Amino acid sequence: MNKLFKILIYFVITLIVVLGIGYLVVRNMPKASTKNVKAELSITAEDLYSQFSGNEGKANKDFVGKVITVEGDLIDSFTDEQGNPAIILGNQDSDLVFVTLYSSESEKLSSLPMDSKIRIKGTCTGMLSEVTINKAIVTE
Amino acid sequence: MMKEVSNNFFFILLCILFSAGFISAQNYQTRTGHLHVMSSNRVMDIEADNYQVQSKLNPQTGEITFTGLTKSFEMDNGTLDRAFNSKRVNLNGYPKFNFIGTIADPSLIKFDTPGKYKIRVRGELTVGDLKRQTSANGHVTVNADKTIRAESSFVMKIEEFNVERINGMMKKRIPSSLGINFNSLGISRDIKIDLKLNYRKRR
Repeated sequence: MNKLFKILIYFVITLIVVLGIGYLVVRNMPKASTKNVKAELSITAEDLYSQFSGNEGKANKDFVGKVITVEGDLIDSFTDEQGNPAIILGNQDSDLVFVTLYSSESEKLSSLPMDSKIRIKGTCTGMLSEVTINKAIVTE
Repeated sequence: MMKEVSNNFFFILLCILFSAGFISAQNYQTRTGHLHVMSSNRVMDIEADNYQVQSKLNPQTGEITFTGLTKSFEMDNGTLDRAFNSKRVNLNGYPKFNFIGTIADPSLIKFDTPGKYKIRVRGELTVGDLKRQTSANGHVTVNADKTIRAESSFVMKIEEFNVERINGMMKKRIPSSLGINFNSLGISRDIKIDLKLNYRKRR
């Protein structure tokens, strides 16, 4: 009887510890990041914009949720509500791709002159007035 | 000679009037609006942020629009964020949300004078194929540098069948091995929404 009671106590303690560790892992797991994810495809800002403006439904299926590399001219730079850098890739006529970068990219971005050709990697989230990329880093 | 001076004067006057009218009719816009959404269940708060909300404000008509992408939401909880960003979660049916509304009595806001003004906005919110008439209180702050900040916090009650629809979708996408009971751990009917928009004049 005494032995059975001991086994029960060990079982309950083990269960509490496992559930506690599980709860802590679930609560403290870091958010999804694109930093160490390999890009699924590489495309220019012009091509990406024309794919979305040509057939948005198809482009949503092809690009949304995917980590992609986009190359284009840097034409505007500002910060968003949480202080993260945000940029526009485009040309003289139009804004093509809106990109929100990780805060860690601020220093790298400040060294890039306007109108320079840059390459970013991030998650495509769809199209508003421009194609939108989130959680991005500057790769070149 | 006198006629030429007079013509030039009228031309310059017309230019000034036209440019003044053009400047005052300029819309304000932002691409980096912040939408914070919170829903509570019996165990925890489910919170998400979207920092890529685009919005336009017409100071003459008081028309205010904002739009955003569902995939731009970042969940506060890392586990949920990973599940939300995984390829299993297909939001093709709900790629965007969109609001078109009007500020009641926009003439009360002096867009050229720094100050804080209370507002009431009424309009239509669309998420995928779901449309809903809604209204909310908030305030507009005109800053010294002529940028505009609009803020609003409100609670939106969503219908029971939509709660079941969203929880059903989550149930389908999240592995059953996790044994999550979506009746007690899914989203609730009350969704708290905070919206912050920092406008600047359109380029």
